[in-house]
Amino acid sequence: MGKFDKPFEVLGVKIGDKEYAIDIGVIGIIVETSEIARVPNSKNFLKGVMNLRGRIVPVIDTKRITSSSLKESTGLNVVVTQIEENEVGFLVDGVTEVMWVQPSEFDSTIKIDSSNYVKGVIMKGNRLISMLDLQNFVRDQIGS
Amino acid sequence: MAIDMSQYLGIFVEESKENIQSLNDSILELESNPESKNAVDEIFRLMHTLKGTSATMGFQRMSKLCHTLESKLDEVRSGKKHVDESLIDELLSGLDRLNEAIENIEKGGDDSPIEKDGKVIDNPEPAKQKNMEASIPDSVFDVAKNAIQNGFDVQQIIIDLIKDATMKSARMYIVFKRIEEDGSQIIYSEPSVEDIEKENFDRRVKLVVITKKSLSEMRETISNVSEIENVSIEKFQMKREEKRETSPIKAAEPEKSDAKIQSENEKRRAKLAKSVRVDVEKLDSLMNLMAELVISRSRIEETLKQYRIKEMDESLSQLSRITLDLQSTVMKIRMIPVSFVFERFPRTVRDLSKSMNKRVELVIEGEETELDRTVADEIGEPLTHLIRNAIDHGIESEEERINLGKPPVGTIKLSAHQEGDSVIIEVSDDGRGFDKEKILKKAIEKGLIQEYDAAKMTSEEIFNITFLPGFSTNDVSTEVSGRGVGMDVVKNVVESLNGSVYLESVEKKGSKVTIRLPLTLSIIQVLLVEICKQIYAIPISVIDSTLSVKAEELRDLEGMKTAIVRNELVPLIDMREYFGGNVLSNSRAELVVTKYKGKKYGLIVDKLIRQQDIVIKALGKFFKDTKEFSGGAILGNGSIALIIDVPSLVERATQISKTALTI
Repeated sequence: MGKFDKPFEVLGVKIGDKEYAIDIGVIGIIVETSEIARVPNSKNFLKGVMNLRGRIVPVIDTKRITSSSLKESTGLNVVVTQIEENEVGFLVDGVTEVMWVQPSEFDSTIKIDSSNYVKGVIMKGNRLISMLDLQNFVRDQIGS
Repeated sequence: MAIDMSQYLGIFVEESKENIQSLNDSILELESNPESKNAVDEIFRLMHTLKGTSATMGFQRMSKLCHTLESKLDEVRSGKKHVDESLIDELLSGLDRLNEAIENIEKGGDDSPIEKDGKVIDNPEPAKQKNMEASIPDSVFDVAKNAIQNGFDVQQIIIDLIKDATMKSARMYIVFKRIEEDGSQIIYSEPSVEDIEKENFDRRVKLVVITKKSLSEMRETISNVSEIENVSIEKFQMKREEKRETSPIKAAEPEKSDAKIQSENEKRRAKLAKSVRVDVEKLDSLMNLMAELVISRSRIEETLKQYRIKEMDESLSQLSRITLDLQSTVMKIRMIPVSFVFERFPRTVRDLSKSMNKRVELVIEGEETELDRTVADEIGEPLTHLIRNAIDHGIESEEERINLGKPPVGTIKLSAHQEGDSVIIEVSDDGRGFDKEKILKKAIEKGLIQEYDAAKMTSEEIFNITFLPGFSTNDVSTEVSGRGVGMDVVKNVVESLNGSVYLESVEKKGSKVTIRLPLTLSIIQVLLVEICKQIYAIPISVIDSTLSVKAEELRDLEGMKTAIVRNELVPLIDMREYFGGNVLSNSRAELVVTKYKGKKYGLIVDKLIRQQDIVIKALGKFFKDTKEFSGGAILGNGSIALIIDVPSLVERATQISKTALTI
């Protein structure tokens, strides 16, 4: 458990009709989705690239790395993360709130989303939020 | 003291590297022209500088080694010894060890690598003569001789001012005054007193002084003048006469030529002193800022166009001019002459041809051609590889060449020149050339091509097989080349620099590898096109022409669309299809005809937009498998255009259509 024996802060995001959480430590900035240039013949989870203040940033269709319903998403926001020197944007359907999670509220043994990049569930009252493991995702994709 | 010195370490390392490279050149020159007095003098001068600076920095082993090498040359100068191969080898191996020492020092170590084999060092005989006497007029020797006979001491003093010293003539005036204050007499100075007064000198002043003082007293007198970096004082050597007796011919050489060389050297040094060393990282960040500025400018331009403010026109066009000038200046700062890369090859060729018992002459042309620093840094390795290949596989042995009626000495030519926005580097040799049959046989054996394909391949296609990974024609791999890496490495590096490589060869006559590289990496001119409602950029450098054809003029040939462009059948790649969009059935098709490996390929696009200068930005690691794009560019309106990498695109697209055919 290590990391999760202390309270930690996450950002809640909407993907399809479900709620997910992203570790606040990796988030740099959240922007409204501007124009995304599609990159033909690239991996299917890559939505394309966007212009972030003169920098070209890859945008990941977060829906594709979760087992969320494949319903057409609106993709309102891009959560731009800084993971191991890589600036990576994650397209989400909306942002809910920043919240503190107590160790007792987090369970890494339960998964309500079967994706490899979900590392547990946060229980806030009757809300069940899947915790995303974006570091691992970026590491896997760039390493391979 | 040691702490004080450490701040000069960087300069010392840089300077020593330059000196070692110049030494390398001069030694090779001496080898090809053993009678060259100038080469000997130059080696002497450089060795002496290196000796002095390394001693100042406290690297005694380096200094000692320089000293030993210097003494060897001294024997040549005094006519005791002739320049022969063993001397050259000795000098070069000494140089290698100096180089090792410098590299070690650069890594934060000391000059201990020299100790590993002390063969050359343990010659404690002191240097007899200094470089300076070459230009000292005979009268000085006469005066000196007289003085010694009258019980005076004659000393030779070399004073180095610190780099960027201010008021140099004033400093020297103080030195002169101090020396002469207590009865010593300066009988010779180089440069002349006149030149010193006019500040017409770099940093070094050499003096011959008649004095009653001891060496250490003299040192005391001079060294507390400020802005002096180094003072070396020793007894003046009177060897001149002996030399005159042993080799009267050499002494009779006109002094003029020496003086000329001297002044050229000084000019060169003066030029070096005016330049500034800049960290490459700073240049990179300057380049990035420049790029941002270019983008912002076109953004402003585009926005203002909507409002048509007349008053803005002039300031806007001025802004454009300034950014353009700035852009070209920044680009020029990053450029370095290709000699930076080429200068290592004379040595490479010498060593390799010697180890393979071949006689090879290296001809270098166009070494003043400039290219981007990043390109220069990368291109050395592939060129080394090509040169190795040429010596190992290309040039025949001496007997073989004589039997073939070729000159016994093989020639490798390394040349560079600029052609538009590209730099062309060619490596050619007059060796045996590539054997097409052998290439085909090997390629089939290795499963790189199919036997039935072989028959219909053109020479060009056959030669290009050698660029495929894991291909090597030599049956026995030698020490030099054929170690599993080959032409494919060359190709990879060149292509990663957005360049192309091309091989031509005539059997028994020789071969030529042509490398085409972009002048600069970060800003290129492109044609913007629209494909499926998205904007893409195609580098102008690969575009042959653009044209619009009627839909019915497009033909299907063996599964590939083709069109006839100026009486030439050109295969087409339908970008709309390739990028997975919907192909609208237009009555006309816009074609961008591109060149790749001397062949033309047409790309069908929806719309041609305009030409533009863009700044290349990497797409990042997520797209490393998407080779069709070499990067992206941010356009004036903030949207992104992907830059099409035509070579990769053509390779992929033709592969797809070929597999489609075989299925």
